[in-house]
Amino acid sequence: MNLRNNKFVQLLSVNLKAIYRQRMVLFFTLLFPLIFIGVFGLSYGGDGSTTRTMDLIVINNDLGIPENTVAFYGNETVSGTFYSEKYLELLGNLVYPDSKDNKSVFSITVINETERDNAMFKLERREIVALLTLPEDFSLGILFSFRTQFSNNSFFSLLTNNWSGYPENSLSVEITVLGDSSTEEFAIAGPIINEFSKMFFQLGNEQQTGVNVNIIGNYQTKGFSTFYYIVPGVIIFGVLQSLTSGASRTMRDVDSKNLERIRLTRVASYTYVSALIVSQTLLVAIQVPIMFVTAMLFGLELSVHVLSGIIVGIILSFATTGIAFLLAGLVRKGDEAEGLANLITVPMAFLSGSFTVMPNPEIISNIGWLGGNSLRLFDFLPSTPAVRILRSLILGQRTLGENWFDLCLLIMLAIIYLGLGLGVYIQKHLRMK
Amino acid sequence: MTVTLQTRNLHKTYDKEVKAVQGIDLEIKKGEVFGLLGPNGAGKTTLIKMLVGILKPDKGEILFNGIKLNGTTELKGMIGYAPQELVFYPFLTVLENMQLYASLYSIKNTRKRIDEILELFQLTELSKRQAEKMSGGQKRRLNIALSLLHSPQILFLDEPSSGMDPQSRNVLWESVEQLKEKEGVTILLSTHLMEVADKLSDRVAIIDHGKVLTVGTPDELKSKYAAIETVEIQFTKNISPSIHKKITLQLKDKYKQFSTANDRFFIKTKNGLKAISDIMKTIESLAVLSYLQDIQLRLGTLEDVFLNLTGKELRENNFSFGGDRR
Repeated sequence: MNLRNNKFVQLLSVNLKAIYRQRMVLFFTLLFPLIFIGVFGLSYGGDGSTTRTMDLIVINNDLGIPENTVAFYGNETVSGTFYSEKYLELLGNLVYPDSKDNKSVFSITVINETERDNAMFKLERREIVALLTLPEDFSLGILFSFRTQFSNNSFFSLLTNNWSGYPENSLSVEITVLGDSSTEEFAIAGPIINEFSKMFFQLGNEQQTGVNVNIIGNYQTKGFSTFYYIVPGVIIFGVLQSLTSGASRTMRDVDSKNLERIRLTRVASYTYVSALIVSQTLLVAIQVPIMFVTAMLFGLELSVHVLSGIIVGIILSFATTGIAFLLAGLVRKGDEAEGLANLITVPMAFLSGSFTVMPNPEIISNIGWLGGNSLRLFDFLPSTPAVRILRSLILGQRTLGENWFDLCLLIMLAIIYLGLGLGVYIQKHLRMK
Repeated sequence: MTVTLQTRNLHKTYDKEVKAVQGIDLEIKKGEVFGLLGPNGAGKTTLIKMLVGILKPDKGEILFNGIKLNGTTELKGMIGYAPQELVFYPFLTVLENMQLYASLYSIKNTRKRIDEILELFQLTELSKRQAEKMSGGQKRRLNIALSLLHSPQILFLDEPSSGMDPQSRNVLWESVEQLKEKEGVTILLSTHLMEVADKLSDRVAIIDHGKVLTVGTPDELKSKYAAIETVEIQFTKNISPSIHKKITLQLKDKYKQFSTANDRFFIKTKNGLKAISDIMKTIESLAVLSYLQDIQLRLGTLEDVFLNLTGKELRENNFSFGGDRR
């Protein structure tokens, strides 16, 4: 095949030359996201140097182990409120492994129920990150966990045959973590406390060696730094930024009237739009790795999750290209499309949770169900599942497979937006008026 | 000559209010250069855009070689269109622009054809220059050259010389004339410049407010609508007001169609040469010959045709002095 005479290749080549030969476009497309990540990297540094110990207040209502009950921690018998105290001790001992001076993740202050109002006041003023309430049955919960898991265990039976005081019926311990979900620190602290608590209650698995705090270490506490939280949002914002250049690029031939001229040639509409889609996606496909590499320079660790993140960025770029086509299909001139794109990029990034965790008010939550999952209004923005996946990959060190629902949602939205955008664009600009 | 393109009762209205084209009937014959002459906003571009298939007529028919058209696809490859705006990729070189459009038109022997067109429009030397770095005239030639790559049967030129200096215009006219001779292309050109229509067109349609006022060869139109000739007299600037007044009174008395503007005298008459002889006698009798700077006879122009048909000037400025002079 002679590539020089191939219409698609020629159109693609024009689109790429438009980027390459117009230096300012090249700058804003490739260098801007790099600078963007760089600024965040310097501000929030992923190397742990800027990690901050977060203040927690705990109201410990634990009534402890019932009297005359033989309870264990490792090979030792324990009593009273031992388990809640141990929980708080281990939580307080968590450190950022990558920090230079073993900086603690939390600074914990334990108070009584009577001081709750004062704690709430501090929470409202953001003097503390969260208010934890340990329930009265905290220790009983541990005992129930022992009973359900070890009543048939021969080794454990050697230690005790006395199940007196161990709950017989199902018991669910509820630890309340109160905080402001729109704050970035709570968004970091919440999952840590949640994960830590789950691990603590699984201590039965590690009966012989007691509570194994290393389990928390496997959760990659490095990801707890603010930078790790910010990187996914900034990368998605970077991809969303391409919406403006995409809208402008999509309208370039309309504005210059080249599209009128092209329409009179023997080019099919799909060849023309395919070249636009591929060039736009290629651009984002370059942008996303650049942003990841820059993030790595500022402390993000290279892992298989980064490669998965690049895939997510590219899928999102199809959706943003679709939105760019949609905007271009609604207007007559490029600057109108660009203006619209500018107008929606930042709100879209915020609503998707790129910068803060979005609250979940009744009016926008549970507006529908898909695959057993409730949908919020924000979920119809392609950047929402993309942010969730990236954050889960980078912060939670989970795989793409574990994010199957969001991945499917993202792909589905990309197809919908691309289809819708192309339909509107072709109707508006590639048909006789 | 056989008819290549025909329109029947063509209409186009924008936003339900602006009637851009109102019932146009035209016949463009094979191999001719057909001029559409009219002021800005007359509906020329709208008409061309309907003919090339960019705009859909609200009403009426377009027939190409006798076959009624229903959309653009039938015409793809048969027509060339050089829009009024400069339409190419400014960041590409001349050659890259040519190669792009050659591939989009699926042209065989691309390089040979590109070389022919480059030569025809005197762009060979500039083939490696980035389009945006060329002069206005060169850009205009590239704009037209791109519409000819695929050897179209009919070429539409919308205001081809707008914004060009006289030298570049001459190069363009040469190219268009060669195009007609060498390639036998039927050309429809729209312009608001009567010199362009007069010089290049075999036939001209005068168009205003979306309607065709008349069609014919430039000579036919001039003899029919602009038979009156104009004598234009200019005196030196040091002429005294009293002498100026004396001359004015004499000429005004003798000629009914007399006017003055910008220190010039204009006399409209059916016999210009006789009028000049009489005027010279008058000037001599008044002993003001030394003040006479210039006296010219202007034949009827397409501008006069337009003026006679519409009662208004073709151009925005009030006085224009184009046309043949002797």
